[in-house]
Amino acid sequence: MKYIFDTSAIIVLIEICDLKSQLMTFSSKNELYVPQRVREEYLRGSCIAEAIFGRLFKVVNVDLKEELLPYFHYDPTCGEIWVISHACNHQDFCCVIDEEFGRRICRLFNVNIMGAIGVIKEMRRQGFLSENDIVSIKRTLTNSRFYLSKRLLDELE
Amino acid sequence: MSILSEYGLDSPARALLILVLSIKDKQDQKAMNRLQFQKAIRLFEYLQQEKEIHFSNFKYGGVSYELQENVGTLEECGLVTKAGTKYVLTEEGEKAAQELLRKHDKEAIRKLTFAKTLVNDLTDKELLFYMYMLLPETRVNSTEFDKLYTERETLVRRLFMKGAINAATAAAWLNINEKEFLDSLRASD
Repeated sequence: MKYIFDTSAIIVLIEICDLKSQLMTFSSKNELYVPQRVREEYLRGSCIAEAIFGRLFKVVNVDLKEELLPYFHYDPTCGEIWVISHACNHQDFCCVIDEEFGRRICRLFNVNIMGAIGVIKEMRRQGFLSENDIVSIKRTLTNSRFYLSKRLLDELE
Repeated sequence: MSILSEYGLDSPARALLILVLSIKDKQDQKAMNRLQFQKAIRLFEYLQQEKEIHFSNFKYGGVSYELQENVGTLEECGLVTKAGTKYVLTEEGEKAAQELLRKHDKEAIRKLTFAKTLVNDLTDKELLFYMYMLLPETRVNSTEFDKLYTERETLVRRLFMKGAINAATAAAWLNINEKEFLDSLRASD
C-alpha cells in the first residue's frame, strides 16, 4: 500500500506513540510518502533529524489540484492540500490525516483516507506491532494531553 | 414543457434552493431552516467566487431577500413544504432536483454539498460566527458579531473539532500561531 502523510499523523506516530523504529520496519514493506510541504512543516517543529525522517518517508512532487483551493480559502500553504491533491491524482494512494477538516475534504473528493490509528492497525495486521505494543500505545494515548487522543483511542477500540 | 421551465427553475435562486434541499447532510437529513439555507447558499457563492444571488448585510450577516421570496414561490408551486421551522422538498420538488442535478456541473454540486453538510452540522452560534469570520464584510450591520467575538476561543475550538476549519484557519482567526492553537486544545481537554 502507498500512504501519503499529513503532519499531524506523523506527530501522533513518531512523537506521541514513539513508533519511529517500528515505522522504519513498516516502511520496508510499505511505501510511505510526504509532500515537500509536509516535510518542511514537520521538520520545522520536530526533534527528529532530517536524515532519519528521510529514511522513513520519501518526498514526492505533487501537482496541486486546483479544485481543492476554494475549500482552503485559496491558500495552498498548508500541508493537507498537497496530501489530498496527490491522493486525488493517484487513486492507489491513501491519505493519512487526523484533522477532521482534512478528512471532510477527502470524503468530498472520494479519496482513500485513514488516520494514524489506521496505520497502527495495519502495522499490527502485518505483524510489525505485537498485542503488547497495542496495549502500550493505548496507555500512552490515554495519558497523553494530545487533543486527538480521545478520538484516536475510540478508533483503536 | 419540462419541469424546469414550468416552475422557472432557470432562475439561479430557485435552482440553488431546490438543489441545496435535495442534498443529505451528515445525519442523512435534507431539511434546512431559513438561516441554514441562506448561509449554505452564501457559502456556496463564496466557494464559486460568483455573485448570482443578491445578498445584503443585515443583523445576522449576509441575508438574501431574493432567496426568501423564491422559497415562498417554490412553496406555493408545491415543490417545497415546511415541516415546523424547516423546509423540505415535496415529491415534485425531488423530481425537479434530479433534473437540475443532471444539468449542473459536478464541481458546483460538490461545493454545494460541502456547504450544506458544513452548515447543517453547526449550531446557530457556530454558523453565524463562521460566516462572519469567513466574510468580514458581512459584519457591518451585525447585532451579533461583537457578542460572538467575546466567545471566539470556544467557538473556534468547536469549529475546528467539527472539521469546519483546519488548524491554520483556526490559528489565524485567533491571531495566534498554529502551534499555540494546538497547545491550547491540549490545555483545554
